[in-house]
Amino acid sequence: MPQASNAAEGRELSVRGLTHSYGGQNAISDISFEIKAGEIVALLGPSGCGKSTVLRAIAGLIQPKSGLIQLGGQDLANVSARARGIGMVFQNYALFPHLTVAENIAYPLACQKVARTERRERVEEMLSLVQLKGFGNRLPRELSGGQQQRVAVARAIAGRPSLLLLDEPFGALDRALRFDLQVELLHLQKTLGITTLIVTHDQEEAQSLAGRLVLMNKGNVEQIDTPMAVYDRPKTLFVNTFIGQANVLHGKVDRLEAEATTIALTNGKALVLPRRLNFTTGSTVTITFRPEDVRLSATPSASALPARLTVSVPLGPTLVHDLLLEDGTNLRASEVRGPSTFIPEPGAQLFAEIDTMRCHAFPSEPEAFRE
Amino acid sequence: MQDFNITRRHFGLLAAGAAAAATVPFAARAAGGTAVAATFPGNWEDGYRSVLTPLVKAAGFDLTVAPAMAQDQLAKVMASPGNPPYDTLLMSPGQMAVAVENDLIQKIDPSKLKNWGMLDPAFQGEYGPTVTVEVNGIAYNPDLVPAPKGYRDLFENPAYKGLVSWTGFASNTGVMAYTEIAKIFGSGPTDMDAVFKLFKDHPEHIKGVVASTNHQMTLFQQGEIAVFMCSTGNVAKLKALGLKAEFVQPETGSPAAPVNIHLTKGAKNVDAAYAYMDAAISKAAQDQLKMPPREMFPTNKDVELTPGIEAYVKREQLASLVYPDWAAINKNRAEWIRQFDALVAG
Amino acid sequence: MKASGFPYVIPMLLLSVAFFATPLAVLVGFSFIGPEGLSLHNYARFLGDAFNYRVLINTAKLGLQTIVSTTLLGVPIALLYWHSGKTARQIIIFLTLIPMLTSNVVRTFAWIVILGRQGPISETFVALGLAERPFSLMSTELGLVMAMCQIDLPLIILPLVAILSRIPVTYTEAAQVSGAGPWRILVTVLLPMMLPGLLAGWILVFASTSASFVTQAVIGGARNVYVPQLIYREVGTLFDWPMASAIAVVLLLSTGILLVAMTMISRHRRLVGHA
Repeated sequence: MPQASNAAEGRELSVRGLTHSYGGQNAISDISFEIKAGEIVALLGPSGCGKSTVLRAIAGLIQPKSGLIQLGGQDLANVSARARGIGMVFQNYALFPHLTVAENIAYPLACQKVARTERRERVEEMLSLVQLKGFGNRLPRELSGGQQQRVAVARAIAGRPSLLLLDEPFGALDRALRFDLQVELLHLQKTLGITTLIVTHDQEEAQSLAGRLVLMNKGNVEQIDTPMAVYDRPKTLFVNTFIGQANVLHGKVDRLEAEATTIALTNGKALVLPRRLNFTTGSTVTITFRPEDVRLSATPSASALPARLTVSVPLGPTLVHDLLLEDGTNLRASEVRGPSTFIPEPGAQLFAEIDTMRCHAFPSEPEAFRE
Repeated sequence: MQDFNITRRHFGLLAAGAAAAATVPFAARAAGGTAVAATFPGNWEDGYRSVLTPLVKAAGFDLTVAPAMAQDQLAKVMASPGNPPYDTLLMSPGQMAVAVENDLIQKIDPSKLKNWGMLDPAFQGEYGPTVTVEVNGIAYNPDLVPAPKGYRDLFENPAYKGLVSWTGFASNTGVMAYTEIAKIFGSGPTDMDAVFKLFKDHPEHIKGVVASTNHQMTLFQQGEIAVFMCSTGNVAKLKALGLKAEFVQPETGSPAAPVNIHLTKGAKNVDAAYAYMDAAISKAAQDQLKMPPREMFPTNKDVELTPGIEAYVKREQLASLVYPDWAAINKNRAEWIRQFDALVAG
Repeated sequence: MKASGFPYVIPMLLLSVAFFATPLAVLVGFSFIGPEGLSLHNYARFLGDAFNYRVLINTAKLGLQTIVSTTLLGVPIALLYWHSGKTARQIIIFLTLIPMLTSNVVRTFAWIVILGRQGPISETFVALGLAERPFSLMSTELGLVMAMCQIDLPLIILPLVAILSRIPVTYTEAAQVSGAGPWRILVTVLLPMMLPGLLAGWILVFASTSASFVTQAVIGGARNVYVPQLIYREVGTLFDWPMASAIAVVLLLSTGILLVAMTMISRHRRLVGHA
C-alpha cells in the first residue's frame, strides 16, 4: 500500500572510496557500497569498526578526508548537514528533553518553515503512524524506551527525508520489545518506501531488517551480500565467525586431488574436504563449520573426531552441545530437539562427524600477508 | 520517640549555649598588658603604630593599633556594651558627644599621665587629652584650578565647575564645611536647607559627591577631581606622595577639630591605656608626628612647630579657628544625612 | 525508630541554628523595635519614603542589569568551553576562576583605574575618535554594572559549564540533521537546555550583586545608592539598628521572593530531568 504523500521519493545512495581518519589513524578506509532507492541496508560490524563514522559522514556531521557520497545522483560534498534532507534516528534518540513529543516531531517541519496548520496535521499523521496518538503533549522522559524510540523515528521521517539513517536504533531496548519494534519499523519502511541505512552491531537485528548487509571490520568492508549469502558463503574468516557461530580448526594442506583436499589438523587427525581448494600444498589453513554441521554419535568411525561433552544446553527447539577435542580445542554442535532426542551425560565420550561439504577454508596468515 | 525528645531538649540548650558563646571571644582577646587603641586608618594608623609602640613598650606595656573611622569606633563599641573591643578611642568632639551620651567612655585620672602638664588647659579634656588639632580647609590641584578664596568661590567661579568633590554629612570634615556654608548662604550654622538648595541649584556639585575623604584622595590622585574639603593632614599626605596639592584656609575661617583619646567604659587594660595616652602626648612622640608626611599639629607645649605646619596655622592662631557647635550638629545630623543622601541620589 | 541519616546532620544543624538562625531571629526581632515598643514603625517609615523605595527598585535593577550582561558574556564563554578540547577547557576554567581567587576589594580598586578619566576605556574611546575628551565611568551605573559583571561572571559560567558538560553533542546533531541552522540550534536547543544552569547562575549573580557593598560604595559613589549602603548608613553612621534590621529584612525578603520565583521556574516540568 504505497502512500505517496508520506515521503519524498526514496533515493539511491552511493558511497565511493570513503576514507576518514582521527588524529592520523584511519578510522575507515576506502568504504564503498550502494543502496538502491527504497532498499534497507544494514551496516554491521563490531563496536569500533568505523560504521558510525560512515553514518556520520553520510549525515554530514563530519567532513570525510576523501571519498564520494551521492544521494539520488547529487554529490553531497558541498551540502551541509541541515540541507541534505536526511532523517536520522540517534543511538539514544536525542529527543529534545524540553520539548513535548509533538514539538519534537514538528522540529524538522519548523526548520523547513512549514505552515503551522500543516505542521499540526503532519504531526498528528506521524503520531498515528507510530501508534502514539494522544501522546503529543507528553515529554520524552514521560515515555517508555520503546515509545521514545518511536518518537525518534517519527521525528526522523516527519520532514519527508529521501534517506533514513538509524544508529543502533534498538540498542537501548530490551530484547522482547526489540523484535516488535523491528517488525513495526520494517512495516513502516515498506509503507513509506524510504531508502534506509541501519547501523548496528547486532547481527540478528541486521538480518531481520535489512535486505543486504554491509559487513565492516577495522575500518574496511569485508563483504556486501544478503543475510543468507553472508551466512552461507562468508568471504572472510571474520565474516564467518562474526555472523552466526562457527567452529574453527587449524591445519595444513596435506594433499590436493581433483575432487578432494586432505587437511592435516594440528591435533594429528585428518579432514578430507570433497573439493579441490585453491591453496598450495603445505599452506596453513583455518577450517570453519557451523554447529549444525556437526553430528554426534556414540560410536567411533574413520572420519569422526573423538570429543568429550562439557555441557548440553537446550535453546528452544535446538539443543546445543559444547565439547572438548582431545587437544583441548572447543567444538560446538547443535541439533534440532525432538521428543526422542538422546541427551548424553556431561563427560561422555562422543564422536563428532563433520559435514565436510559445508566446511569453509581460509588462509591462516594474518590478513596483511594475504594481499 | 522518648529518645528523640531528650535529644531535642539538649539540642535547644546547645543552641542557646553556642549563641551565647559567640559573643564571648572579644572578652578574652585583650588580656595581658596590651592596650587596644582605635585610630583612624591610613596616616594615623601608620604613625601611631611606628611612633607610639616603642614608647608604650618602654613603659612596660604592649600596644595594638586597630584602624577604624570614628563613626565605626562608635558603632563597634555600641555593638558590645560593657565589653568594648577597644580600650581607647580616637575621635573629635562630634563623636565624643555621642560617646558620652551613650555612656561609652569614662573620665580619666590626669594624675596617671606624666605629660599632662605639658598640655594647654584647652587640651586637658576631662574625657581625655587632645593629641592634635585638625585644621580643615580646602585642598586644590594648582595645575588644574586657581587657589579658591573660600566656599563661596567654589560655587560662583566657573573655573571650578565639575572639579569639586564633596562628601556626605557622615564625614566630620564634610559636616564642618557644610556648617560654614550654611553660615554664608543661610541664616546660621544649622540652616542646612540653604545648603541643600545651593546644591540643587548647582547640580554639577551633586555629581561630585562621594562616600569619604579617603575616596576623594584616590580620585585626586587620578586627576578626576581638583578640589575637596580636607584637613591639613590630607594635604600633607598627598604632598608626601609627590602630588601637586595645596591647602587653602577659607576666607571665612578654618573649621578645626581637636582629636582626643578617650578611655572606654569597661576597658580591660586601663594601665596600658594610660601608658598609651601618655605616649601620645609626649614630646618624643609629637616631635616625630609633626614631621611629613603626617604633620600633626603638636599639642605638647614643648614641641616646636615645623615651618610646614606654621604655613597652615600658628600656635596663637588656634583660638581664632572656627570650632563648630557639635551639640547642635549631632541633634540634626541623622536628618541631614538622610536628606542629603536622597538629594544626591537624585 | 528506624535508623536514618539524621544523626549525621546534627553538627550542621547546630552550626546553622547557632550562627545563622539565631542571629537572623535576633535581626528580625530588632526590626520591630519602634519608639513606643514593638511595632511595624521601621517598616512603615522605610517603605513610606519614596527615596528608599527608589533605592530598592534601583538595587533590583542593578541585579537585573548584571544578570543580563553576565548572561550575554557568560553564555558564549560556556559554549566555547563546550566546543573546546581538554586543554582549552582547563584554560577556560582557570581564567574563569581567577577573578574568584582575587579579593573583591582589590578587584574593585582595579576597576577605579580602568573606569577613570585616564583609564583604558576612556583613552581607547578618545583615540578612536568616539569621544571628544576623556570621560570617567566612575560613579555611574554603567561603570558599576561593568565591574559587577566581571566580578560575578564566574557565578554564571560555572553552573553553565557544569550543565553543558552533561549535554551530549547528539542533541545539536539531531537539530542539525533536522535542518536547523546555528542560531536556531542555539535558541531552540542549547539555550533551553542551559536554562536550569542559567537560573542557578542568575540566582547567584542577583544575590551577589544586590549585596556587594564594597563595589557599590566605591564605584557607584554617593550618587548611586543601593540597599546595602542604606543598611550600612543606619548601622555605622546613624546607629539606628532597628531601622537597619528592618531594611535588612526587606532586602532579604525581596531577594528571597525572587529566589523562590526562580526556583519555581526551574521546577517546571520541561526543565526537570535534563538538568
